Amino acid sequence: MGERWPPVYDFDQLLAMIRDLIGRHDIANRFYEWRRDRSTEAPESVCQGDIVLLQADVPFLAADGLPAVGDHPGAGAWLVIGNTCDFDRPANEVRWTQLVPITDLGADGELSPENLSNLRGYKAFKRFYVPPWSQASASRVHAADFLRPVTVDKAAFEGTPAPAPVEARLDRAAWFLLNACLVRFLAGDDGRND
Amino acid sequence: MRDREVALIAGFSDTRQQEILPAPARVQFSWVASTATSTPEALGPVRMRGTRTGEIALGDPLVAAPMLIERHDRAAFEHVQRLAEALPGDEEADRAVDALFARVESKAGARPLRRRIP
Repeated sequence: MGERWPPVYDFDQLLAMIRDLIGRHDIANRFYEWRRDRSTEAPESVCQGDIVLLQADVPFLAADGLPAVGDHPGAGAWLVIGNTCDFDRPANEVRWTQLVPITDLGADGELSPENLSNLRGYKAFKRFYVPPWSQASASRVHAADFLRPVTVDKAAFEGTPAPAPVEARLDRAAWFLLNACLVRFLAGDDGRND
Repeated sequence: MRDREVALIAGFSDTRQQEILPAPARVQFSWVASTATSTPEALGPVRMRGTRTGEIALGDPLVAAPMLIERHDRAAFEHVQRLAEALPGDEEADRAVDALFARVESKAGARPLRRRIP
């Protein structure tokens, strides 16, 4: 059974939680409630916001309309953006979920301070900064790319070992931040206040 | 007649004899209504049908409570608006990050998956 975070009904409290997380210098330490490299137990289910490892290229439709694949831009790390509740539904009702690739943008020192600030301040609409979630990802800069969603069969998360094991799970505040960024990306305001 | 109307409307209480009007009958109503969502322009409006029900006095204007789906729609829309205001994106930052991703993606290979079957 997928565990969905309960809603925060007080909007000001929600904002305070998100802003507090973004403003932290040690954001990576507060971003995940579970990391594979720091635990001996694995989660039983998959949730929206989980980081999963799947050694697959990124499929897309090319300019000629034919299916194509691109190299995965980040060593097989993906962010689950499909809804948590869909993982509770049987496969004969809801077979699919969605992932976006997590791009490795380089070492900390290779990015300009401006771009680091843009990413870590969650100022860009189409990408979601993902703090290091493992020893292997430490000192690298990663961001999930909302522009490249991929459909995946939920069965890829089942079995032992699963083809796409969960590597890290977001903390509550981090999930609210992801939810807010997805909302902003998919349904931003219509510009009436510009 | 004129005095009686003024007295009734203004809620005056006087000792003059007044005609006591019976309370208007109340009726229950129900009808299938059609409405459109208030989603952002880019998403386009979504037409919805639902049942409006209520109870009114005869002669009152027919104003029904919003349908459940309208209340959900309104709440969701306000949530989106407030989130967009509270977590403002930055067009310049977005373009800078676009350029960063374009540089990284330019180094990645891509290939056709298979040919279209004639």
